[in-house]
Amino acid sequence: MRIEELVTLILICLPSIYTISRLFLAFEELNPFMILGFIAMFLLPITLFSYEIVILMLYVPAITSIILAFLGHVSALLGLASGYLLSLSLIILLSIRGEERLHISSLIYFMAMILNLMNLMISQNPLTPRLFLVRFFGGWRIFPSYAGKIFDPIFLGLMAPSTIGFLSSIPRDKRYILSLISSHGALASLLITALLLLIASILPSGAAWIACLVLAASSSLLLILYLRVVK
Amino acid sequence: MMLSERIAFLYQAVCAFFVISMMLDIKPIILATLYIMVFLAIYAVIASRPLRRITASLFPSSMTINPNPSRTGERVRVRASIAPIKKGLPAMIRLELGDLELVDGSKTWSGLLKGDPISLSFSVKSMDPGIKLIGPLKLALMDSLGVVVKELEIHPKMPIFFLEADKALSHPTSYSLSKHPSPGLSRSYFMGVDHEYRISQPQEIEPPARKIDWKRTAQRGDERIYLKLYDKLMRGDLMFGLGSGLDIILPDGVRLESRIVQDILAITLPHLREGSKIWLMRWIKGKGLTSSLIERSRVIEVLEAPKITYLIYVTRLIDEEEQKLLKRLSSEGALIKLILIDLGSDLLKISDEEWLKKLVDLERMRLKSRVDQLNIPYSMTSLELFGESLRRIMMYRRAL
Repeated sequence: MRIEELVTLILICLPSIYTISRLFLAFEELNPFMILGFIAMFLLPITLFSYEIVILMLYVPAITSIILAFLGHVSALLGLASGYLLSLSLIILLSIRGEERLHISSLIYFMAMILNLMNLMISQNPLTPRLFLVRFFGGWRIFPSYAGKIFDPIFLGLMAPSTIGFLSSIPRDKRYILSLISSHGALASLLITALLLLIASILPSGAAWIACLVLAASSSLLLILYLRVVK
Repeated sequence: MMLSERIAFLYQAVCAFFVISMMLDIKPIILATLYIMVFLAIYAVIASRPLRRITASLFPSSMTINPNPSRTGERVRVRASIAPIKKGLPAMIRLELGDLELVDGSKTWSGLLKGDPISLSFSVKSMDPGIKLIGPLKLALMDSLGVVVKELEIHPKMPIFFLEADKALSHPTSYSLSKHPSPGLSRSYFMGVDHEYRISQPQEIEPPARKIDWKRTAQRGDERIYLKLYDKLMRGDLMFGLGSGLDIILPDGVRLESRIVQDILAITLPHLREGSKIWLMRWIKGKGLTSSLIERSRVIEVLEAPKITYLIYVTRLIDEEEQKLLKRLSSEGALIKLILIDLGSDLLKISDEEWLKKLVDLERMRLKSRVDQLNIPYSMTSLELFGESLRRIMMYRRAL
């Protein structure tokens, strides 16, 4: 993996890394099976190691935790499951790397971001693996009504470089952040857009909502009228 | 100018997420989606400016087709070459194949324009006889990120003439002095024959006075007589109409219209070779006549039909609207010759049952009654004899 690609990937994953860190910090104590589960799943998309080692990393903890569960120690199985779920948003984001179709990439990216928000929602109080699983699966039911209330300025701040990182997957080849910002047109567009959104975000809540709608409508109109997309 | 397909899909997906996040009030997603949407719009405006100045003239192109005319099922080699003057832009070149089947090679090219000539080379074939169109050759130019695309048509459509093996006709190559010369070499205004001046050469035997180049003979003063020699060329416009009822499939799987076009082509190919133009006008129900101008090396779809002065119209007279049009054209002074296709005898070759004979009689009577209402000269022919019938009409221009 080239350094430019790694930097771009890290930028895209910044919100996920932050959320996972928040979750880890929220746990009362770190279960070793949870860490094993997290690492094992994380190894899958990266494929740094050989196939046999990855299988070993997946199967050995899984079989051990099941045997322990039968012996009455359920915490190992719960910890492993929590570890798998913790790594989920990051694994989803890493799969963007090989995807050529941008609309699929965008679906993956925004689904991962929604998962991150969900994780943020459940990382409020001290956690145990059991509590995490209960909240994770139960949280989806209340997420639509609760989503508007999730506000984390750090997460919001990290979304900016992450979105720019995602935009760097637009070129067909050399899909790095450097190739995006080295284009004068793209750099100017990035700055103008950032300025427009900054202005919209400092407006009062109601006006900001309208400003967002106006911006979205005018960008679509601009594309239709200027490029004459509709014939 | 338009958004590239992948960016258009991205924009749609992001728009969908924007709407969902607005409904659920998920602020980070609202901002991210809005950022992508506005970025794409602004970038598209900025990136499209240099592309607007690029025209098709910056991409000289040529296309060769060999062999043309070809035979059904035979491989036809197509080669398209582009010598781009504009460099440094990502581009995609594509040649439309229409009804043709790709046998080998690639009809597309994509990459960065470096100023070197680009060529597409592939083979096509058609199992269906008639005039098949290949092209246009299209070039899609993109900005450096591949967001905006400008599509240019750098070479027009070209016709490939497919004949069935048994329809390959032999045409006379020498000038006929008979009263009714062979097609293409008559003095008929519509079949077209022209004499193009080539050279003046000395003549040993005393020639007829009308052939002498008096001016040159006088200038040279070498006691030799110079003659004007001419190239015989077949030129002129041929106008054919394909009417209603020809869109049926024959027992051998070929469309009746294809078979008729094939016969027209077999007879008119020598004219095309020497520069004639063929107007092919098709009757489409509810739309009227659509026109295509076919030349040796290109086809032009013409929105408005040309003024019709002489038309050979092949039809089965199924559509009543078509009869109104023919009446109108005739009343406007156009000289129309109808060739009615009577499929009866072709049908009786398959079976000679009594009910089929009655059906054939009924069809013949229907054609007769309809054409009588038109008061236009006509010839009723079977499909098998259509080619011969057409050849006679073209050769002799006689009353039918």
